[in-house]
Amino acid sequence: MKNEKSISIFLIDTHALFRKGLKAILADYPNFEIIGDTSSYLQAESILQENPVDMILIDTDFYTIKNNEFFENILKKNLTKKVVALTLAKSRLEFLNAIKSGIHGFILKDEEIEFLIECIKKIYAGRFIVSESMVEKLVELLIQKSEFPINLLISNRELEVLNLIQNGYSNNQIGKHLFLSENTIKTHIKHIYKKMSVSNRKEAIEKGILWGILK
Amino acid sequence: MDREKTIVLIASANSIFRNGILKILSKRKDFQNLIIEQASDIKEVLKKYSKNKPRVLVIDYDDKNIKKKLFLNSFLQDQHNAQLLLVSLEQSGNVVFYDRQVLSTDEAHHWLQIPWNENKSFLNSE
Repeated sequence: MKNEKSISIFLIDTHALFRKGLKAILADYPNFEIIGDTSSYLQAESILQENPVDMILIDTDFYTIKNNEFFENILKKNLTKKVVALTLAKSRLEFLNAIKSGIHGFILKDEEIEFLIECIKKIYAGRFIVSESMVEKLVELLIQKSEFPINLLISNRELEVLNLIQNGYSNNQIGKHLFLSENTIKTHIKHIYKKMSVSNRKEAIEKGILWGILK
Repeated sequence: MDREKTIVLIASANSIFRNGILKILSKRKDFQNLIIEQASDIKEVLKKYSKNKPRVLVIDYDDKNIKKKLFLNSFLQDQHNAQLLLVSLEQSGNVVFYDRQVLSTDEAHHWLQIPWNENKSFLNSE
């Protein structure tokens, strides 16, 4: 007896063994219809244009996801109703980037399969689900967001530097880009770290995104 | 006809990965001749490896629970035919595959004399 509507799913993961294995597991569940799988965003987009799905399970480089318009594109074009990160990524920055990109769930790959199945059903039904071990990070992020200093004064130049840091530029590259010496860039970065109460680039990007001064 | 079963050991703390490999294997034509063992930590891996002498091993070697060095030490000390697929869930690039075949000294002597590019067929012939 099949009362529930089947959920059409597409898998995107560069790890072929994990992807094919998961595909085989999910295909055995009566309420799931696996439309396809790929390691490439471009190929995914082209397949999804022909066959929109209910849900995409995706693993990607969540450090650089802001540079990838894939999520926005597929959601805006209605190629899928839900996007769920299924990943090994456990850092706060990766988590934050994924959340900011508009996903509907963040599930770690080391969960049990039964948990993943339940998550797929709940997310499809409209819930937002995060793996339990990520909840603490979510709380930390919320606390940090509430600590946002209103009187923070990051200059336009410092914001430019921060943006370039986010785009992966080295101090030398930032200097060349802004026609400034490397030492001047180092001074800007020192001021940025002090104002943001951070000690490295990763933390600065994380807080910048959290505070809304970075995309 | 009672064929000898092939023991396969899948080792990873990641349940989805282990069960995924199992599903992939279950689609093989010779699946009924396979005995699939699973292990989620190094203790279980070493126990099942030494006790059951699996012919095929799929190891998630970056898994902290598996402890690659401990396993490889045990693998090197042991001597039985074994095919080992070293997979890292953290890296989606290449996997490493070892096909260890145990030879008698006579066979080893023969192996040293035949052209290297023919060794594979020599080793595969039974």
